[in-house]
Amino acid sequence: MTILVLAEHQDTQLDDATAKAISAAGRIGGEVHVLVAGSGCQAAAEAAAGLAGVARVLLADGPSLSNRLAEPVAALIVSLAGGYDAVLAPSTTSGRNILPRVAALLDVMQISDVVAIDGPDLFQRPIYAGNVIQTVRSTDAKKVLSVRASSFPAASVAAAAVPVEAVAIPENPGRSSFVRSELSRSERPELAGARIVVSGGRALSSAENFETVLAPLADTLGAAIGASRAAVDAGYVSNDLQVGQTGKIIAPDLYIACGISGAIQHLAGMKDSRVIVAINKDPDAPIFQVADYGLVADLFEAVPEFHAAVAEGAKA
Amino acid sequence: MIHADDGILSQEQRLMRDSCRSFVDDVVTPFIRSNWQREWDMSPGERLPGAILEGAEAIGIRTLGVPEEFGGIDLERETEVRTFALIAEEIARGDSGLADKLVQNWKVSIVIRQFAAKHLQEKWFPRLLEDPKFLLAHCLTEPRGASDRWLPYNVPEASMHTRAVPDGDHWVINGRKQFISNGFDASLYVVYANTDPSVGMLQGTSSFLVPRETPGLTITKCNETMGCRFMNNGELVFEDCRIPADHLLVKSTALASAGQYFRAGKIIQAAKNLGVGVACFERTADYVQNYVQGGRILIKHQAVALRLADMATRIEAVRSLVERASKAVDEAHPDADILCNMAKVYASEEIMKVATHALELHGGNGAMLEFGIEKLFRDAAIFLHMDATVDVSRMKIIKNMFPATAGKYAGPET
Amino acid sequence: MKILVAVKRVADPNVKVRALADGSGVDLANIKMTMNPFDEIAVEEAVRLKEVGRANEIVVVSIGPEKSAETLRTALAMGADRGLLVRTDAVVEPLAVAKILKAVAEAERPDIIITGKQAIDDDANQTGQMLSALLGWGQGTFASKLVVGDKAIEVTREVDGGLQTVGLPLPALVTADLRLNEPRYASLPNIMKAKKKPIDERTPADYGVAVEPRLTVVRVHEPATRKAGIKVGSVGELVERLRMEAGVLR
Repeated sequence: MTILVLAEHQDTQLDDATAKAISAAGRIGGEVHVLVAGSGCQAAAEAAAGLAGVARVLLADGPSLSNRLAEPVAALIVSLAGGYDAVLAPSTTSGRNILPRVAALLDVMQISDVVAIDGPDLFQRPIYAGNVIQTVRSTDAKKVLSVRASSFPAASVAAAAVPVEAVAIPENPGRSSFVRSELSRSERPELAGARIVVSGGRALSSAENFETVLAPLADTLGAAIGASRAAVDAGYVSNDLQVGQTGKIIAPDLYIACGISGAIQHLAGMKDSRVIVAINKDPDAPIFQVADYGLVADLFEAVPEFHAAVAEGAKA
Repeated sequence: MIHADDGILSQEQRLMRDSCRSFVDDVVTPFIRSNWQREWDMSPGERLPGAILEGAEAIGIRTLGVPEEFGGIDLERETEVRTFALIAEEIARGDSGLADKLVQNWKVSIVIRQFAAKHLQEKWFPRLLEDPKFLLAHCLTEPRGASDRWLPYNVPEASMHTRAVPDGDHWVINGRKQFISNGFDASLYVVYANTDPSVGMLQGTSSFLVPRETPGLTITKCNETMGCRFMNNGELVFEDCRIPADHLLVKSTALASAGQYFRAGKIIQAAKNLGVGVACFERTADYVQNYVQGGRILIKHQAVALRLADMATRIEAVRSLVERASKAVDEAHPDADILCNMAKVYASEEIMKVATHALELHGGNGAMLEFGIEKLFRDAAIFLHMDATVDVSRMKIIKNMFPATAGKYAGPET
Repeated sequence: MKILVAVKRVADPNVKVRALADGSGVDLANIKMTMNPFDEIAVEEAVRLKEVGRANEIVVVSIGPEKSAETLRTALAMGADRGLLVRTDAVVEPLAVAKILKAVAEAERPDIIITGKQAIDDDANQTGQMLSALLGWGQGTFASKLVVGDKAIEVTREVDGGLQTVGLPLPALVTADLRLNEPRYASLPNIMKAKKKPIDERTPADYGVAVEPRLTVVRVHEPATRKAGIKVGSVGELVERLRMEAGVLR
């Protein structure tokens, strides 16, 4: 069995999600190849080549693949798929965009958002916003899977790197063009891979309070900032910080929910965190039912106090 | 709650119900829950905020009852009252005051489309449709009473005090109306007045269309009520109020044969009341499944479960009677009057019990203003009186059931 | 310009769906069903394009049991012009859905197809991408903004880290994300008017598409629920426990 993993990367660096997808591929069993597609992405390919469990790294480096639009990347994967028993990608927005296109062109029913692998053709995946887990067996000869990165450990660094091999890039189907991207610049870690996440709800009541109340704590902890859908809808923070069923699904070591009531949609996005802390002034907020440590308090008092305590600890 | 509505409701009725439910869940309930204090702080002019009325307008629930030829809605007439009941219940589930504001328009529109001259319909229905703030009101009750006055005996002495006298090609109205739903806000009124003091109320009462800006009509007061506070109940005084002769809707028999057009109002009343009950149940069901007492969530305590079952059973019993009565009204069944009064009186007493259970199951929180249960309790209490008290409604049931000894053929024992 | 919108009837998102005790599936008995919320956004976008004169016809299609006609009726009440029900009681996987929709698109020849980004029951997030691939069209998935020109569209997409805008020549496919718009409620007068709008009915066999599933559901279970932990009395206690007990703070 040979498995092709589509790498998630930013050309010059490899995302953590790739290392996690590689370890997921390892659980299926067989030889794992990584495809790094992009423009000027040699560095990302080399990073992939240094991960344990990777047998080969394929580099498709060309202008048609910059910004990783779905149409040319899918065409590339389809051109390589003949030699593989399974194609796998992390279910990032990029993976979710590209992979079903590949599956359709290969006439394969994709298995989305796999959270556990029970055998070469037996996979667990959440349905109904994670309220239910479905175990499915694929009858397709070739498998196409997207995996939830937060459910798998990252592949470690290998003792020796494997070589990076260039592959031919098929003609761009040309059904799409890149216009622009507006990426939110932040010094903070990416929400999806952060070890600690400090998250705020509507109770923060303004964009300014996210900056003055939550940000100091997040920065002292080296944490990413997240938000509930209510806070995003109210315009306090940008959309890509939303944690929940329709936002990001994350599983950090520590999740600190401040002024978040804990609607089921939100819980679906963070309930697999290792340790959950909830700070809320409503003692009956549902968030307390999933929190390991609950503090019934006004966040505007408790969060600055929390910040002061950890800042003190950092100095000591 | 139980939603065994397949086969009972048409596809359109279900879609309309779902639209109203979404509007209530997304817009009305969050407003009511987070602005509980505004019920008491707002001036009459601010009840309710524009955004809520605009939302109601966007789903088209202000102008039910307006015929399609005037831009209204093409509701199927054979199930129209049933549809009114469904919508009224859903809106009242969010706020019974908002529901009352809107349903007055429906029932008065029915009277206008039935009795107003064509040119008056052509004048007023478009205005009603154009202006989201346009409300209608139905003016029966007077300081000396309403149906309680003529119920014992239909005699001249029991007639209305508000009088209308012909004067050339005009009618001149003098008198006073009180406890009028939408009375403080309406742009157009249907007013009942005595036009023949020599006969009983059923033979001598006429109805008129009176625009708000008619000279001689003064809106004197907005009543501060214990519940249903987002509807502005008002008081009106008529002093030599002259209206054109063609504004006469029904001559002499406005309360007799034409009274069948009040039936929809009784059904709507019962349905709004039902909506308050459903809100009580939903809020309580949520509470008892989330709050823990003695190490268990409340619903696992049998005494709590039994009360909750009692609430649900009463609500479904009311719903069954409302369904049966609205069908009778839609089909103009001979028992329609009896059934719609039964539905109204039964709803008011049963939902009061439901609200009492809700208050009880919330413990101390039930009494707290910010929890909103006491609001539901007050809103439920209003229904015991609105559109006839429970005792008057019961008398109407008996008068209709036994016309010879207690009803229209009965007179003083000699 | 003609727009085709695909909609799915799903369990109401506010209902917590449970796994059946025998693990054979989920318990949908007596559960309120509704239009997939992302599909509502797709319908709304199409209706807005019609309202500003960009589109002149909106066709909505749903694949599913007889009751899916009610979902189509909701779309018609929101402003779509006519409906197509591809009737089947089978569970149809996204790949088969995409194949049926491809055949529908070849018959209807729309300029734009809009679907929700995912259905909230199976959470697969595949149909739009698959359909676009089968048609050989460009795709603008997870759209938060759509600008329609005469021969091309620009789709602003919600991606990790921000927004990406792509240009697509027509015909093209768009999948709607949460913030593309806020769908309207079907108004009561429009619900009554929608009663007169036509809904055609076909079967998957009419399009020559086999709907036999490729995936076998072996088991359905509920994830282990997280237990509530403890309430701490102060920030000091919280920090202490995070350091000493949980070991997540230095």
